[in-house]
Amino acid sequence: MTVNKTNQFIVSGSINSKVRIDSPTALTIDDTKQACAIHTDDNQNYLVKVGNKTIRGELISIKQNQCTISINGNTYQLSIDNQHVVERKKHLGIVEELTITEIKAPLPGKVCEVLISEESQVAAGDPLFTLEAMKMHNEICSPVAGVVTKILVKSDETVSSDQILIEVDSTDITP
Amino acid sequence: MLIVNRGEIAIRIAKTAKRMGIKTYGLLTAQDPNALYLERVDEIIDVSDDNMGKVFLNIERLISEALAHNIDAIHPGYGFLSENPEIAAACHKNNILFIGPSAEIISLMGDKEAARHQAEHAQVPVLPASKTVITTPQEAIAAADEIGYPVIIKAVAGGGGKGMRIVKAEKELERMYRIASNEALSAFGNANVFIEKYLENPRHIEIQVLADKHGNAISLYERECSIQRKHQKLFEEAPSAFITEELRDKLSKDAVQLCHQVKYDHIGTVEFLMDDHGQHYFMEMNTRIQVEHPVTESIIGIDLIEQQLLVAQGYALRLKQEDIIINGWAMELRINAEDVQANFSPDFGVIEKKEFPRYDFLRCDSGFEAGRVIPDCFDSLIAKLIIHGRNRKEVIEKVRQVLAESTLSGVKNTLPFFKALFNHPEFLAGDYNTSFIETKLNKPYHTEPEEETAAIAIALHAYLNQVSAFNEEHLENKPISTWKQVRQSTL
Repeated sequence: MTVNKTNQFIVSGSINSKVRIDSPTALTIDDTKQACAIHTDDNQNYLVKVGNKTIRGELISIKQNQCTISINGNTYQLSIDNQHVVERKKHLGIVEELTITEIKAPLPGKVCEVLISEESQVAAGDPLFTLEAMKMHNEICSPVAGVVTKILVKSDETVSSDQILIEVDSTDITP
Repeated sequence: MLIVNRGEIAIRIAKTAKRMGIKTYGLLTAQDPNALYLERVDEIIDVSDDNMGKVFLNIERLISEALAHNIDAIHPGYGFLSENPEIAAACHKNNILFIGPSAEIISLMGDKEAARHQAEHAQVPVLPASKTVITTPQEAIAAADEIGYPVIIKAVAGGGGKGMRIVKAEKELERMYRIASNEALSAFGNANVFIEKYLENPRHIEIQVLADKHGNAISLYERECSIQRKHQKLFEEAPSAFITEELRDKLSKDAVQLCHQVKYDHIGTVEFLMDDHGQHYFMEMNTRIQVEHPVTESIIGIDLIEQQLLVAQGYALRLKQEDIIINGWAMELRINAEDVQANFSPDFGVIEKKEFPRYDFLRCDSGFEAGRVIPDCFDSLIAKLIIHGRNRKEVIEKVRQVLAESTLSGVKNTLPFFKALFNHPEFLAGDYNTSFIETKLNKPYHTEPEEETAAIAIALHAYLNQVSAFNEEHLENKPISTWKQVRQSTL
């Protein structure tokens, strides 16, 4: 078994790749070897030399294995898992099934109208509620298909960013 | 003069006023107490006790402050009260000069349905629409059936893309009607809408007009504003690559004709939709200074705020139509605090770094500098970059240079979008319409090919450092970094 090897990682999120650290100056990403050296400057910025090009990046946050990185104004949200942890889970038959999806407020604002009720059946892309923020009414749509199990806000309620508003259970829905 | 606005436009107005020898007053609000515009006005009036965030909309308060400070004139800027007839009427009643047309004209052109009728009278082409104002879902369905789908629901009092929804089929109509009318009610205090035929993938081209109280009206030609998301403009250029000399004359004639029809007496903008065959339709008229006014200033070489202040005081236009000559080409990039990776949703926070290069050909109108907070209760505009050149090709090269030399961090912004836009062959060829962002850009932001690798490297580096810090603390003292450990384990 190769389960003890710790130089292989599964990256998921904004990018989904299998990554192997070959040396401090080389990574293999999805079977493609890439020269890649990393160091930090005085302002806590990362300078990554990929091939002949130097890319400046910033680590916005790291919480356990969840990293948020900003490069050229673009944001990357990445989860890092050891390859062997993933394989061990597979080996033990642990299949992670996230059936409850929490719908969060993408930005602070005021809930204008809740368009569904508890136990409503929703399809992916169905509007759940409208949120007024920066003078616009934004429709917040369901990212998944499922059944609404909980509605945690009501109309005219002020909500903050990332506040959980609605929970959708997608267990019974066959993909 | 009291400027009842904030951000870059307050600074822009103060700049011209200062040059003309007009003393300016600005408003200090609780939401934006360290704003840059407060440093650019001559006097500050503290209205920070109004903590509802609505002081720029509070007519009674604004008038009483103006009277208390012996203010002669009120400039509304854009947005807020700029197209509100009540403030114009209140100014008139209190002997304060309102920098805008009369309350009657603002009401007339602000009522999108009445404005349509005026356009029809002036023999300016319009799209088919509902005959009356719509107040119930049933009326909406009946009107849409008669016009034929797709239709667009528009707030009678609308503007700035608010209270506007496109409906492709009847089953969506009722829901969209409710959203549009609710949005109109909360944005404009008026839930009435009307329904118009929706022209798919049109160009949005507008004519800047300049009129005075003596019956003169001239066209300052077009601005191309088709690069939009959520019906809001992100980028403008003048002249338009699509407009021939003949079309320019036609649009100008119609815009001026409409001014004469309604006895328009101020600066204003007549907005048109245009199909692929070059047929244009009147959309609406804005009776104020526009966000994108600098592109016209760049190619025509006049100060629109100055003209606005002169005609409002009753001076006759000195400029004649034949004096208006297009010099070169100009583009405006709106740098907004918006997350282009999350469907342009607004972002806010502290600007950590803001560096734009300095060139003669670059004008930067901004209400912020590094270290300033972008508050969440106002719009998301950080800066406007206006670039001028001899022709479109030269401007494109200059824009690319400016983009490469610009840095803005702390808040997500539209710079990555413009890098993508200025790499797109159809945009570069001038071939685009209002559906461009939705249909032509696979992703509305630019990424360097090496970016993903760099992101992975940083994430791994940070993660492994964290793991090694944890191990050092809790397990045993390992003087060797995990990065190196990993390497050794592979040897």
